[in-house]
Amino acid sequence: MPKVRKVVLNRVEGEIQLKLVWEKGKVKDAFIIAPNFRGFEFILEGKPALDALVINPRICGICGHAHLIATTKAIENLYENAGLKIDIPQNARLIRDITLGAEIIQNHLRWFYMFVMPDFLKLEKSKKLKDFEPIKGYKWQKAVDFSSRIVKVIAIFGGQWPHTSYSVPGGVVCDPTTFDLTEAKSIVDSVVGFAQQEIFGMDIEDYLSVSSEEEYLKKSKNSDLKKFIFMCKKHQLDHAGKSYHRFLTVCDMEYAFSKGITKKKRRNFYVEKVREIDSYSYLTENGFSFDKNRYSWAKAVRYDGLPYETSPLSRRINSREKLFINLLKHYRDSYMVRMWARIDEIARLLYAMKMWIESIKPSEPFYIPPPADIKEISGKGVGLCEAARGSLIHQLTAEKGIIKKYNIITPSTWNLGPRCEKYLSPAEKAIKGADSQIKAEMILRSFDVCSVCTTH
Amino acid sequence: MNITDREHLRALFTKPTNYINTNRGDAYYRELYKKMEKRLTELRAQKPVREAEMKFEEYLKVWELTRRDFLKWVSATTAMLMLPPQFEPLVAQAAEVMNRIPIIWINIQDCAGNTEALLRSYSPTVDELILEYLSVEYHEVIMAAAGDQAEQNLEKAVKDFDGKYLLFVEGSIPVGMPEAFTIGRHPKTGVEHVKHLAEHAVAVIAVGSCAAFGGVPAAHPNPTGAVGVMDVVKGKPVINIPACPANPANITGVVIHYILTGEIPELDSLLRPKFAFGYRIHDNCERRAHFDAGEFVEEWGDFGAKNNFCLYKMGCKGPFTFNNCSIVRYNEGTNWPIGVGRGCIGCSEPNFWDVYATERPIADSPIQPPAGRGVESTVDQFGLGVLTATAVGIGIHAVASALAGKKDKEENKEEV
Repeated sequence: MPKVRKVVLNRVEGEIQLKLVWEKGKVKDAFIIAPNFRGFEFILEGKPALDALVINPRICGICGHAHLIATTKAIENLYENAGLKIDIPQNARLIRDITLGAEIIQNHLRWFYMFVMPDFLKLEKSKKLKDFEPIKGYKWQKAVDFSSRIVKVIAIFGGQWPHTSYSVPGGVVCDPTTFDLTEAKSIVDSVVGFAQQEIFGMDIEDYLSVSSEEEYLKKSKNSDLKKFIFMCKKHQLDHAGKSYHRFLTVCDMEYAFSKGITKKKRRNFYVEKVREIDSYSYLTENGFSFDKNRYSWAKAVRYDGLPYETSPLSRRINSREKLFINLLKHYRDSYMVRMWARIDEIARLLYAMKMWIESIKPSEPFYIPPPADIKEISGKGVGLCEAARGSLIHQLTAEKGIIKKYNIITPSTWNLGPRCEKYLSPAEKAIKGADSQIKAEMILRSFDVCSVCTTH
Repeated sequence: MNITDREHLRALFTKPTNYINTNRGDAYYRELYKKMEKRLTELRAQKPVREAEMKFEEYLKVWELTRRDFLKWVSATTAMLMLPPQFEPLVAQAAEVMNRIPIIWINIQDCAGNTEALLRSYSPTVDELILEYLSVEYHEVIMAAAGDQAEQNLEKAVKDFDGKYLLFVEGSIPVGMPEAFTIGRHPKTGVEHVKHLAEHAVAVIAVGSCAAFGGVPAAHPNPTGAVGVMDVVKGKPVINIPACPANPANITGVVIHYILTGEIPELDSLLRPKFAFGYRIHDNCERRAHFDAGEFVEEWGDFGAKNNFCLYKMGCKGPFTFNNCSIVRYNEGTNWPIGVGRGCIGCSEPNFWDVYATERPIADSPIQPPAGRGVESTVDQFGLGVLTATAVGIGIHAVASALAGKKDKEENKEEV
């Protein structure tokens, strides 16, 4: 008889529950339950479209900025679909990328040091890991410090973090001076220093040229990434937690990643192929349903009918980075590779942020007024954005500037949503086969769990 | 809209009782000083909540902070609490006995934004002092324990510190649809969770606009029937620290005040501490001079925007919003929304998602720059515009104020 056990995963944004079905000491089936709901899509209905710029960042305290960018892009797309060309100054694009980069970096820093490494403390009580102990450990504190530092870059351009609203259709409202840019650059440099010394154990540019695991282990001095890799191998997490081996990325970012979908081969991404399925969700097209088959507030998302993983790993694969193509050959999309991609992105984005900051020209505009008042615009718009956890999609229908319908598909909906009739969600699939509860939790955590985004 | 409503609006935005009295005379402060000294001596005699804690000095060392960093923070906090400088030594001592106060922090319909803000605050305040030194017995985002162990820890803390802990609540509570929030392996709804923990707490602190007034989840049509803590918790003092996110400095401020006096700070009619919500954004805004001079940004990116003119016409709600962000700012004082030219969205006022949100009619009002006279004198002129846009909000504001007024009296009996 299979045994069923429910576990609550804390230490995430909000709360996620796991229902694990055990057979012969292994997880036979897993249900990811997102038990909390606020109803943003309903709140947005009937409100002026520009209100979404203020409301949507509040979907998530961690990725609020990504939601702002997706909202801005959706409104800009609304203009374009209405046949009005909207100019976005290069400076504004750069600022949006810089701040988004900063938000993603702070998330990865925190996730690795505050959530992932402390999990290993539960697998073994070794003195080597003392630094990673929550609150008391030296590395834990350093990570909090540097993740606080990098968000100051967002504060410089956006006013505050979390919950910024400085990006508007047509550009950004800030008008940074050279002084602001220098300050931002010096913050980025200090985080680069931390990353080189603690995370990668080598120069960032050298790290970015590494193309295989052997090469990295050989070149790197003592580093936290190295420790992580050894720990994964010791506890057989290098091959655990495999999912569908299908990857999705919805937009490009210069120097950092490119969009696409990979299912054996890489193809282009088309937003029309995205579908939401609610057969296991409390939230249905016709309202709410609490019948017993339904188990989560989140919906399932499918691309061309298939589940896809969206994450930093997907971004690595879709931009054809050699290191990760190689890692995938050996380990496939396992716990270790998925987490490594997340850590890898810290280096890639820091490098890109330096480039972006240098490309800003303070004498050129940061905002160009849209060609018409939003009150004259009707139609549909889509905003695509890559957030810390993966792909974020905002879809909106407006009539004379008033929102008629708003749909949000978050990265966590892709990864941690419930099943559909045919497929488990990527994280549910990855957890299957885990041989202990803690490993099941860790595999779930490798998807960078965020329950508030999942259900919104 | 009749004249009484307009009068009400005027009363709301100009009520002198919203302001804090920053100079109450020597006798008052002498008395307060004595009272605080006594309280600190009592706390010092108590054992720390957890045994084997490091000394405060050691914590400073661990965090690579100097005594000087600490003293800087002490001055800032003393000023924020609107205490005269001679109280600085007391504030310093308060920080050192923080570990006598147990804390439980829970998240209901939240986005974790307030926790995030707290983790990214001034050094050496909250990361170090609250999370390190203050005894956070339960906080689901940062604690080490998870799952069943966390649930057990929480129950143990409630038992051990019955009637002694401060309960922090982040997020609104869905009373209309309890299924919208459940927690734990044996699911409890958000309403049950908050009520249970509040029953055993000494006071409840609602952190952020969601916990205070329902926030975004309570915006029209309020799909889950979300409300703030004060609508659910009865018979316990409730302190609201609204704003989205709540400013971490104000959270520490409330805690320090409690340590210093054993009482909750003086509150306004919406249960907000007056030390933080005693002024409007507009009163201390860095762009205020431009308002008085009649210099306004007319469009993002224009000449005015480049020269930091007043954002009032771009929909800034600073004149209507009580909060201290113009002084304290965010992210270690790095910046605040007005600093980048976005304008205030009024996030610490009740119901603002429906009535204040972005570029609303207030901004288009035909205002006459009243050099030297302040915004009050123009209330009548733009009053009509405001009334159409905020009719709903004012109704609710009024009810809330009336209710809160009653609470005020009850609390005064209990607390002061």
